[in-house]
Amino acid sequence: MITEGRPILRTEKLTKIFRRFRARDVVALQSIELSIDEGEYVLFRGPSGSGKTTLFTLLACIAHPTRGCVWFRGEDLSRLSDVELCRLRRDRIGFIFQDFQLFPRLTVLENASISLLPLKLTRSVRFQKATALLEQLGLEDRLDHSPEEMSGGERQRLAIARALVNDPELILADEPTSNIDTDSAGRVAALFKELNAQGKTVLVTGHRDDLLQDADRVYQLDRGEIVDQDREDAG
Amino acid sequence: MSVPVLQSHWNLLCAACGNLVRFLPRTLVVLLCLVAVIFPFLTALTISEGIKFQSAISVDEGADFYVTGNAAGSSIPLPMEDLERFEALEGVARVVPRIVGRTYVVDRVITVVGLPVDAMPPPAVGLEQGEAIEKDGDVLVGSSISKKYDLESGTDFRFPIKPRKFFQVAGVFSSDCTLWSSSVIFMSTEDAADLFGMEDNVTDFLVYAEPGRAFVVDMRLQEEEKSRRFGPLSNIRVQSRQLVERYLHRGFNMRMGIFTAFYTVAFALAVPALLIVSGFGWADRRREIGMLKVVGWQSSEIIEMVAWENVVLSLTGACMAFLTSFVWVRLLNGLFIAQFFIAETGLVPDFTVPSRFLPLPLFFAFLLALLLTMTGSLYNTWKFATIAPAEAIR
Repeated sequence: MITEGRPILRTEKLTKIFRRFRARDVVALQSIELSIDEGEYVLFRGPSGSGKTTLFTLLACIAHPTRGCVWFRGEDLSRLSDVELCRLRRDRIGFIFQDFQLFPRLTVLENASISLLPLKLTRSVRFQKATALLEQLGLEDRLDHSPEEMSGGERQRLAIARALVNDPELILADEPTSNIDTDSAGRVAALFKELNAQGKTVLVTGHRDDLLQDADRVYQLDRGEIVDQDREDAG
Repeated sequence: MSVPVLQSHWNLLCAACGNLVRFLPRTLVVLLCLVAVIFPFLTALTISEGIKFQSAISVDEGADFYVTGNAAGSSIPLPMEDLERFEALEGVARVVPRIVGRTYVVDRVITVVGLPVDAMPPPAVGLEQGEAIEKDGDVLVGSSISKKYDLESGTDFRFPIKPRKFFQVAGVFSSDCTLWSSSVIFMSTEDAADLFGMEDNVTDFLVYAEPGRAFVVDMRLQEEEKSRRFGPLSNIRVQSRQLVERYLHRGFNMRMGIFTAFYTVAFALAVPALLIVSGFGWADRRREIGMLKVVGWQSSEIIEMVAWENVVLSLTGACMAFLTSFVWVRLLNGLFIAQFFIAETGLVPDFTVPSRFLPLPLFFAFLLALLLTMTGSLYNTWKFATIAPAEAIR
């Protein structure tokens, strides 16, 4: 589902270099130029260490680029204050980590609703919102459980629920199917397809064929650079 | 919460309480450290306030003016013949000659107060058993001394400095001022003069003014102070009740100052220890702070949640320290700590240690706890909350 001509994300000469003390610097990303349209489903592929995760952290504004810029709906993210970046992450971007990054001491329900906590919402409203989402993701009987009591697939769905609770317009999922079994991976892939069908822009990294099938566009990364770009027919 | 403006703060407070419960071992260790640091401070303040209060009672019930002899800054005895001279002053209602000295009873230094028989017992004390002083050698003994040395009414005993003279316990007194019960023996002026070898001399005169005429007496005594001289460097010294009160406060402030100096050293040692303890689990905390930033929490919201944690911890710590202090003073009678404030008390006080629990020290204890916990956590929180989230969760 693409709305032509309305880029939601754009990068210009995006570069990330990790400085190391008494060692050679690591160039994780080199002059990345890309433009993602609203409602696109984009897959990023590449071998381990090709810079996919680093690119996603920059696109989700949870890391700062060494050089270059990221524009979100025409707004240069480097010009935004910390408060504005936090608001952007909370309201408009959902980020899903490869290793889930859940809060092990919180319950499933608390994990899913954590981003709503500082808002002026009562506990019951927050939990109602999160419960509705967890029900959609098939976790309704796990609400009081700890993430440590759940399978990899369930944890991934919980991480997705946490990313979706604020109804973001952009979803970035870093290797969402790499740490889970085949059945769960198929379910997760179908979920992203459904979210994209609802009009959300979905950016995913991964290798699975079902992710590839659904993607509107595929970027191939290698050693921090985009080496290939394919536009597929949606669906 | 019905006020939407405060809803987010309420949510953060609840999250803070939840965190303290979830990290229970860390919470308990920090609480124990807080109690260990704060409770001596609270106990000391409580005892100090108690002594101050009792001393104020003693001063209030004492004379309006105290006249002593002075030679080059040191106290010297005054001749008994001055009694009539002071009695004759304008506005004076009564003058009581007094001998105050310190001597051993068995193994302990106590204060012996010699007063005229008709001024016995003094207003601040009440007889528990026996009778008032009637004959030569009769004494009134404080109830704690009586208990400790089995000096009941009718018992004969001797002071080591006057082994040939026998004294008899005529009565046992108790007082609102528990220190008196534990360290004072009253006897007649004549017996006290005999005990300390002060024939026809006294240590001071207690001058009571007629109602509303203290100012006149003060002026007359000042005139006496200028004119009455025993030699080139000797004269009389007049101290009003207000002056004694001021000395008293200054004395307590000095003792409190000494204790505070000791305490500051202990506190300085406790701070790094608490920083280390409260820093337990910071690796987890750093990752959590990073994750909170990823899901859209603002730095100020994270800092507020941690500040709430500290407030709850400090409040709990201060209350626990207060309870410990209460038990220490009321049940353990200020064991070990009373000696800082009451001379010759020893590690285990053998009388009821005066104490007074006031709200202000509790508030100070809370502030102290807050200072400690905030020092231990706010900087780290701020540091992790202001770096890029990807850095924090790495």
